[in-house]
Amino acid sequence: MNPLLRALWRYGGMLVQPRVTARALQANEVRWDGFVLGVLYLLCVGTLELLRGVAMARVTADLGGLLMLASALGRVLVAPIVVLVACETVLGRTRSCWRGLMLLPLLVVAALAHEAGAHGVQVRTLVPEIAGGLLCVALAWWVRPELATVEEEKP
Amino acid sequence: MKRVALGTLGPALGPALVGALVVALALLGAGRELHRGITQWERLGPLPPGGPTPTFEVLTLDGGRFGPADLHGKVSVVTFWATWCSACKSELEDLEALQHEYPGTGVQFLAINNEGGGLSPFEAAARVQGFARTRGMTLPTALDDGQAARSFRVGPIPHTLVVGRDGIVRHVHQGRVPVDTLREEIDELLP
Repeated sequence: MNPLLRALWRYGGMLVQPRVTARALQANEVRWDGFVLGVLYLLCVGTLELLRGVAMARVTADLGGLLMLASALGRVLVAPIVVLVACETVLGRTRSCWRGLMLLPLLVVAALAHEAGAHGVQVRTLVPEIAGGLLCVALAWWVRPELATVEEEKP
Repeated sequence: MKRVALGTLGPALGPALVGALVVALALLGAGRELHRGITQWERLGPLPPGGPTPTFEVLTLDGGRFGPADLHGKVSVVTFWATWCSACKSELEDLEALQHEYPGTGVQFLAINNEGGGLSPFEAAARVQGFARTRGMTLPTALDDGQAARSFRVGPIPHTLVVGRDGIVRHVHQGRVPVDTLREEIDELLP
């Protein structure tokens, strides 16, 4: 299976049959999942916020504007970062390499809430982030026994 | 041919389709945000310098009204703030000190409070008056019900503008602005 298809299978599999999928995964193939899912989350939820930050920085043209842009980026990324830390805590040190894949529920919930908002169904602020984050932690807890442990390389 | 290709995927096809759906959903959201950003680009950021002040009217704490006409003939430093904003408190202290450097030189300062939080005008006025009294604030202060903030497209506060004597917005700052920068900007607008 080519890498793209394999990644799609991984993402879908973790949602529809998490334990079966987790059992079939290899640690080295999920290396970029956290980055990919994080970027997808950023694009889905934060594009407008980032554009707003860029527009502010363009108008003010000073350090304050750049700080506002950084603050916009930080506001968008705070949810996935907190979720990653929580998932890593649940998974433990020897399984921490799988944490990126656990962002999937957050991405799905955030994307659905975003889509609902686009169709006039407003979801309360932070509800998608909290619900998605809890699902991520639940997923990490559920698949944990099936995930292979990876020992850290000793220096 | 297609059937054979799909057949080789076997049981992986279902999850792969779900995965593709998730990625497509995320990209659809990104596309929507990008479209909104592009179509609203001119209105996304704060009011840029170089243009006249927009129409607005705020109530000053002493019971008067303040609008664009009051900005003409004087260099004006206008800042948007709220009592719950800690950076605004530092900014107000700077402006408080700065206003004493320009006594009777055609420079005016105005701190426009936009408290938010669904407060009634009476509640907002009481809170701001209490705040000003506690801090010994002498900076001219006005109350905004949100209309002025919308006109100036104020996002994060403090949001400070330096307006020329012709009523043209010359400088816009978001976040706390160094007092030296403000002093330079005021001085360059004075005759």
